[in-house]
Amino acid sequence: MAESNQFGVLYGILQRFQKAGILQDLMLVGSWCLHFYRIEFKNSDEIPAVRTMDADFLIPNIYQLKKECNVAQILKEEGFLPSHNRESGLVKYDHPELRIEFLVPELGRGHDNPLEVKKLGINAQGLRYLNFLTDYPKIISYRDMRIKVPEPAAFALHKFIISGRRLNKEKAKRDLEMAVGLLEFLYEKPREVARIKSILRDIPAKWRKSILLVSNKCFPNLNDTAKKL
Amino acid sequence: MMGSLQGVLKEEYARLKALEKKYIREIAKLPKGSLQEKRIKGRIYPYWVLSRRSKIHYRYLGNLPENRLRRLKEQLALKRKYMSLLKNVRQNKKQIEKIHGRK
Repeated sequence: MAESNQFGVLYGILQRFQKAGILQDLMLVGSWCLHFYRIEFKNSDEIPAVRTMDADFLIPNIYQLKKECNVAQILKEEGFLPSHNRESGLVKYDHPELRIEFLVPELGRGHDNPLEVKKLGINAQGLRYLNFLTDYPKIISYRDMRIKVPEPAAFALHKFIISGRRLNKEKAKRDLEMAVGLLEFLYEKPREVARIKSILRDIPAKWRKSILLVSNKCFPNLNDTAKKL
Repeated sequence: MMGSLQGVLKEEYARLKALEKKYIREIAKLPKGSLQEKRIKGRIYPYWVLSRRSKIHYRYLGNLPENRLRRLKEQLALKRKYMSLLKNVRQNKKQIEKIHGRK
């Protein structure tokens, strides 16, 4: 269960996705982004460590997928087993070291059931506010791959929004710990502070309000920044 | 921080328990035994090695169509992979039990 073992499994999957030509159409979201932020910021220990088994892949736009590929088969070949949720119909893929899940941004009225992504042979869960992450992509080069993740500033701010909406208090607490840890690190970098300001300026007022409501309690620096916008 | 770590461990333990059952089920669906290829006078002869009632049985597969032989090889390789992953699941479960004190 060491992080290196987990990363080895994730790296194998990323390589398979790259070989299949679908990596460019996916965005790695969730706490595994922290691992790549550590790589991007020269292995900085100040960035919180990954503390979950889930690797979430976001499909920004299922209608713009360029290639067809049997992702379920790839995952099976890598030793992942599908885990069906009988109530929702959602399929997650489990491995001793990792769980992989696919997400799509939920827009408009939303869906009751997971969305079928025929081109990839999987289904994906629709979640609100994921378009926040797709709006701020960042490409991180790692070995022979280019991995798409959200910008660290967007990642942290998004965690504030969703922590306020979570029913599971444990997960909400984890979200906040991650967001605060990352923001503390980003606030030492003037370039990242400028990005935080720019994102806060760009997003809808309702989102900004949700973020600042949460940050007021756990990271008041952000509220000070917002006042200066 | 410790509280949220405990939460992660608890969730992970439940996930591993379910995964252990799934691997056992998947392994049971796959063919038993292993494949051995003997090279005799430069030619390869495939055999399916099975253990029955503590005896080893060799079944010659040379007369099996190419695609069925390939499929059997794939299935046996997948079974080996699942067995190794099942071992990992059990090791990870033990690690959590040590930390969390769950039995």
